[in-house]
Amino acid sequence: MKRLSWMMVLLVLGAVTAQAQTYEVIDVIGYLYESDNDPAATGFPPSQAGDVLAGVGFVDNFGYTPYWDPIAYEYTWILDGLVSGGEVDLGNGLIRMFYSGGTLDFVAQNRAGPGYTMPFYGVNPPDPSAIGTFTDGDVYLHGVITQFVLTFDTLNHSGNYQGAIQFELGSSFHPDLELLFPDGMTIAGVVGAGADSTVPDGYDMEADGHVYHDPTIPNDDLTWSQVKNLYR
Amino acid sequence: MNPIRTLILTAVVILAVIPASGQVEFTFEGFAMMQPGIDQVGATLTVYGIANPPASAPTPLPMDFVNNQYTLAVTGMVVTAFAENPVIATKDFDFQGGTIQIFGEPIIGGSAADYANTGTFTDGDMMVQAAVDDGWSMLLDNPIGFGYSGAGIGTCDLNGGSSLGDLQSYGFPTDDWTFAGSAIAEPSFFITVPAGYNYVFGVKIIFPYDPTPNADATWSQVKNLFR
Repeated sequence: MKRLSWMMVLLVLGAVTAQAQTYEVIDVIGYLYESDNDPAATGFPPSQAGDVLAGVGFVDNFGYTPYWDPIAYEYTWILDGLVSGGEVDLGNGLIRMFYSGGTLDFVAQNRAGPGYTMPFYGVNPPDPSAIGTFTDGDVYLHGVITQFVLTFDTLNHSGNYQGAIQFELGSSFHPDLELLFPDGMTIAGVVGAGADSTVPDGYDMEADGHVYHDPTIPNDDLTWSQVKNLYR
Repeated sequence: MNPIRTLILTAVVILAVIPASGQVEFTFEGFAMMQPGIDQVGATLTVYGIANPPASAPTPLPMDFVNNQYTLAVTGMVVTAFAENPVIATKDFDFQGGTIQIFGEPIIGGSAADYANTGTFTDGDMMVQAAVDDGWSMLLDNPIGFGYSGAGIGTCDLNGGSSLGDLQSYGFPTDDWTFAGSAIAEPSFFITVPAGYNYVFGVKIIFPYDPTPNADATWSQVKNLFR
């Protein structure tokens, strides 16, 4: 059945390639925290140059799902390694941070699989026991962030981010498979702990948004022998 | 074990549990239209959305996402101020007024929400109604050049609906819930909206209070709680 499933997946992916470029919308929700590079500064804001923004959360919906299986799998996301260039004062309480580096991974956990752990936010991240519950699955999509900007209103504790991402298929896929259009982006609204009682202790803000990417995987011409070799 | 000690331990455990159960929110994803057009004072914002099953925080009410679809309609929010700053690539809006309504409807036998037919968002049991009574602000920006996107924030007072009594019976105050707009975005290369809509628009309605605030008490006052 496993081999049949792979064949079916390949057929479905092949069918997808016949479509025009279509962006999958992945709804994400979770919490962000920024480390304090300056020991004298606590929490966020402020965002000091060198502070690292990270976060974890859940995929809570899909707009278009060629290969996700939200019934059997729980999908989580892990944002990590975004290094702040320091906050820029835009006036009227607005600050804007440009970040460098960073990754965004989507992880699938088989709900019925051995070793499944229900993700929990814990308190005071980066508590490895909490963060580990979001990362302990198979990477479905790995994203390298090429641009990321967070704008935050310090007066009403609200803001948003935009990011540009280069995606590649994760370890759940055959290594020969790759995305035809790796460009993606993410946007989210954020609400700081000062206005949002749902933010767990130690996290700085809730994030609720979307990730847009094209899941098309191009056809790969293979002989029948090469196809058979995939399963040996 | 000493019964008083047992009672105090029990009380401590209960207090530890209450904050988790109090951290609640409604979350919707949808689309919004600004009529007669975007980026102008006097325009009216209307939002329609569909609830996602809770992932990060539970809903304030028990909700059956297997058998029901929950929808949102926000109407009557009027732009009272608008300013665009091309230097820092921001659009800043202030709103007044508005009504939020949350509906529940069976999936089987009900009408599935359809953005081309807005009546399908308002034809179920109106569970919760709230007034946006203290203004609302929205900031969109475009620092990368992908198009304007952003967020909004304000408050609302719950004032109606078939489940208002339930919320009150659970001990939730009705005033000043946080009303946030999340991942609001104009159409762009990556983002599309249904015909007639101007924005992708998420909505969060968040219970705003520290669920169990601390209360200073002497040891005698604590002991009196158990007499």
